[in-house]
Amino acid sequence: MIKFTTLKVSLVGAAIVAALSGTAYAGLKANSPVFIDTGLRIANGMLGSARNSADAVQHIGCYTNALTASVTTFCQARNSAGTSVSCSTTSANLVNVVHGLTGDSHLWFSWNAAGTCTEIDVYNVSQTPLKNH
Amino acid sequence: MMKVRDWLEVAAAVVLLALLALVVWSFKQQQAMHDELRTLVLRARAAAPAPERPTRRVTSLEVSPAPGASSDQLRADLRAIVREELDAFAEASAAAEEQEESAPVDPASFDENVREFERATALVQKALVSRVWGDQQADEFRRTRSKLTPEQYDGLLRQILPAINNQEIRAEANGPLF
Repeated sequence: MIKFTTLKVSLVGAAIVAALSGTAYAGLKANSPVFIDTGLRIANGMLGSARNSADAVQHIGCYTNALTASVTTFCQARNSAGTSVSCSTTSANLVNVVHGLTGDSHLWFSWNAAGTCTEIDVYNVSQTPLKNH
Repeated sequence: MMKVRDWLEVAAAVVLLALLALVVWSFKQQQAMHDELRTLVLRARAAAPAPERPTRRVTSLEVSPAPGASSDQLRADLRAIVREELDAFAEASAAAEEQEESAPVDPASFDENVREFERATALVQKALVSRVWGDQQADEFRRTRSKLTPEQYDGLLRQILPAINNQEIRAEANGPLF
């Protein structure tokens, strides 16, 4: 009798936990591994997706190097096939956009034939995956 | 009974008074005419358009001799003024040249720049031949950056970036490429 009651309580508790867990993790989720088109000269991907991918190849991101008199921002990406691209810019507008990049952002960038970044977009939205490891 | 002499005295007094009155009247008339003329002139000036300023271009120096000044004296003054202006200009030019020449050019940093630029250029050329850009190249390239001018750095980037983007060089670096 005691055992039966204990089992019932455990089952009800598990059901409540499961229900709460389901509610907590609801919401639109997206996954965007690194995509590169060398013909169109565009690259994009979610930093979390690249990090959480099964392969140990892809990555995407931007960084800024600063000297006292100049600031240069670079963006680079590599897809799962090993194709790598990179661009640089000293444009204040683009450098400012990169300041908004976080570890879980969605990044999109394009470049010209000389390797100069022509556009950088940073999306900080809820559907991007967090880095889980 | 008045005597003839008395009559003459009265007549003389009357004549004198008349003359005095005539003088006063003529003075007042003159004053009135003057005022009237002045008013007319002022009205005419107010109605007339403003005189145009002369806009002719000065093509030669015109000097009106001051009263009592001789033309030789004027020439001498002009020569002195021109000489002073030329001297001042020469002085300013010399000072500017001197400042330009004495701009700080540190031979050591110049040599260092040449050395680092040669090193960075060799690094890029080697990568273009070996077709690999890894962490080692990235680190070495990053170390030279502060010794290069922005133009030199940008020029090297314009060689390596298109090569990476065209997959002519395999970017193997796990960290930042530059």
